[in-house]
Amino acid sequence: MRKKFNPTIAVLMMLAVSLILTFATKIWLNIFVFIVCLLYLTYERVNWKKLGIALLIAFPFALGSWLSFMAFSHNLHAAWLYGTRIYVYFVLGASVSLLYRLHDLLLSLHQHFHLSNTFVYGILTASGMLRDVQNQIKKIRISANMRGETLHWWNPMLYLKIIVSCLNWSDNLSTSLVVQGFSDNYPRTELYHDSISKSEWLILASIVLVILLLALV
Amino acid sequence: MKLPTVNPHRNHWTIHDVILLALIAIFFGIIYQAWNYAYYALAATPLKPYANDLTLGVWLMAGPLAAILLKKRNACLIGELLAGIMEMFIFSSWGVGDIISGFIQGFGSELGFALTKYRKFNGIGLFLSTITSTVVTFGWDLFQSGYLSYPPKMLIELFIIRFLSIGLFAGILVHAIQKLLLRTKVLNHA
Repeated sequence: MRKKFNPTIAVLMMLAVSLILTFATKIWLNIFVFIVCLLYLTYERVNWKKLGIALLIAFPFALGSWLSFMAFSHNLHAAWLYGTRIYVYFVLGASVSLLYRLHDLLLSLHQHFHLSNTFVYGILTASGMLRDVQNQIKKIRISANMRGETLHWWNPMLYLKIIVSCLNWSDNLSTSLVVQGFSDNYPRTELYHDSISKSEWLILASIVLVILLLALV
Repeated sequence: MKLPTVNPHRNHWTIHDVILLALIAIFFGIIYQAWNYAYYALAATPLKPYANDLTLGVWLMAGPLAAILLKKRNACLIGELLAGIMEMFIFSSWGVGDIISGFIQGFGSELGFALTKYRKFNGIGLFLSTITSTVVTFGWDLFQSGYLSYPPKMLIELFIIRFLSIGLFAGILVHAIQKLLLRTKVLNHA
């Protein structure tokens, strides 16, 4: 992988640009940011198959937005503005979620914004359980099926069983963290280090400023 | 077998609380993705705003559920925001919209519990939370999602549908889960 922006800079850029676009009313600006993000993702050699499928999946949402404004308000500008916004939000998110690991983002945010270690390591520990949570949902539903019951998404029993599983896991995981020497609100040896160069801050400020100016003029 | 219970200390976050909150967020990140498919059927038609408001309640469940479990200030906001972040990282078509919506929805639901000065994490707190989240998310959508372009009659319909959806999923369903948690002694009191 080529040299990327510092994770903290990438998150700040994603949030700042998306917030500006949330309040901007220029269709061409959405298209401009969308193209720039796509070029950036191509430069970083993301998996185009995954990206392409997600872009296709987003199409009905964008089409639905477009159609609803045309049907109920006959406002062509709003139709294109909110239709294209779906895509620009998607590529802005993908610029972070496809290029960075949650691990690096959290540790970088901890280093530069003092995000508490309790939150950083708590979220990191839980994020390693993604597959287990997915499997647990399947297991719970299958075991209910075996008793002749169907646990739909709106059945509170499904949530109870999941919460009990989550409580068991959080008990075990927090105990194992404490056993390994983790203490809440105590300083710890920091093994992860990244640095943000002045040029990166400058690039962030310039991009945000340019998008802001383009949104205002 | 003794079931595990939640940390009764309301003022500080322990590693156990954060892991629990993050696991719940992952669980809802998965549910939100599955729910996308239900939403999908109506989303590609002009009825998209109705589909949005009819299904919105499910996307607001993580926050209030985190609040009734942990009974802490900001648990609702952080729970909803984390679920949005997880949804984005599991990879959804909403991208950064997941994080922005997660924050607004979490903030809206949190206000309801804040109105009770974080003393009522029961039916009353949940009811207030459904009202504040409906008002906040609808106010946000008036500007952010272009709802202002729609005719007033349609806005009234959308507001009512949204309140019913949030009330049903983030209110009544979460309350039913709370009752089950109390009955099984996972929670000691509401």
